[in-house]
This record gives sequence, C-alpha cells and structure tokens, in this order.
Amino acid sequence: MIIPVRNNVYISPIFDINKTDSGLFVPDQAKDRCDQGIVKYVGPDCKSTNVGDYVMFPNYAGTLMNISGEGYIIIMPEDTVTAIFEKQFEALTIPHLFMEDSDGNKIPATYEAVFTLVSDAVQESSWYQNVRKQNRRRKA
Amino acid sequence: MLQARMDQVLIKPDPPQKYYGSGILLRPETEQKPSQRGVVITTGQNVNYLRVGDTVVFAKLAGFEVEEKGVVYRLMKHTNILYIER
Repeated sequence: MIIPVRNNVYISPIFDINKTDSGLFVPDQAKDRCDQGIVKYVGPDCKSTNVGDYVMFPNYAGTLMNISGEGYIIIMPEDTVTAIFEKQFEALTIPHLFMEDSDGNKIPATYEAVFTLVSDAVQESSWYQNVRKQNRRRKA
Repeated sequence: MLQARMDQVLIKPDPPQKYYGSGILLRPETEQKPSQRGVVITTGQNVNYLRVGDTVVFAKLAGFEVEEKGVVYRLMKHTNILYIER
C-alpha cells in the first residue's frame, strides 16, 4: 500500500497499442513511455488535480515504477501535468449494479468506473500482452 | 551519529537486488541494481511529514552515499521521495 506525499500525482498510464515508431531497437522500458493517463492518487498538497482526472504530461516526465499490487504507476509533481481533458460524458449510473468500497458501503456503479476497471483488467490480461508482442514483431 | 539538517533526509537503503533486466552479460560491479527503498533514520527540521522508521521509496540515484562505521546511508533532499510504503 502506498501513501502519497507532498504535491505528487500518481498516474496509471494508458499505453497506446497502435503507436508508430521507427525500426530502431529501443529497450522495452523506454518504449513503454506514454503521455496520457488517469490520476489514481494525489498528494495532500495538490490543488488543481483530482482523482479520476484524465491528464496529459510530457513524454519522459516523472518516474515510471512497477509497484506490486498496483501495476505500473507514473509519479510526478503536480506542476508537470500539462493538461486535463474535459470529461466526454456525464457520470451515468447503471441501474441494478452496485460497487462496494473497502468499508462495505454500496455505491451505484457509473459507466466511467466500470470502464476503468475493464481497461485495467484488459491491460493485465495475457491476450493483451500477446497482441502487443505480435505488433512488435510485425514492426520488426 | 549523523543528523540531517534543513531539507535533507538520511535514509538507510535496503541491500541491492540482483539485476535480471535482460539477457545481456554485465560486469560484476554493474550487475547489482541499487535499491530504491529504504528506512528513514533522521530528518531535517523542515521535513514534517516523515517519521523515523518509515519505509520510503525514492528516485533512482538520488542524493549521495555516506558511510559511517561500515554502514552505508544515503543523504538526499526530501523532494526526491516518491511515496511512503506501509
């Protein structure tokens, strides 16, 4: 479990499958850098970013870490975040579907929350890893 | 005993992990990846969100090494600390 500090934002990155790159050999770590993500945690001193914001940041900013139990997370100070995307749709609740938080309270599930859950699950699945591998082979 | 001042934090890092990043052979000196996790020993007076004994994760190659009585510590500014682990 991680405890955020100062004005750091903790972003779960969104990797693009169809990213175009030249045929040069790039180490896997450097290849995986991206410039968009969804804010997962914010530090106590943050003012303008909130949890759940869809943000954009410079390509090589911050530190990419693979934390056990969290997956990949990019950590950077709040001033480094360049833009926050406007929300594309309102928070629509799905009837008869509820989510449980850690205290056991039931919250009506929104489409946004469900989509983030699904995208997390897809990124971790073996199918997605295979797709990424195949894309790399095609380019090479 | 060392006492950190102002914005500095004194950290005792965990022993380095063996590097398994890729199949490329490395020299024995570079083979060990320096660990990014450690325990806070002392903090300066300007750092009030850290307590002695907290496990923290800091940026790669932050600060510099200090050796005292055979134990290697790391002295760095508190802005290099990424998060507290609990």
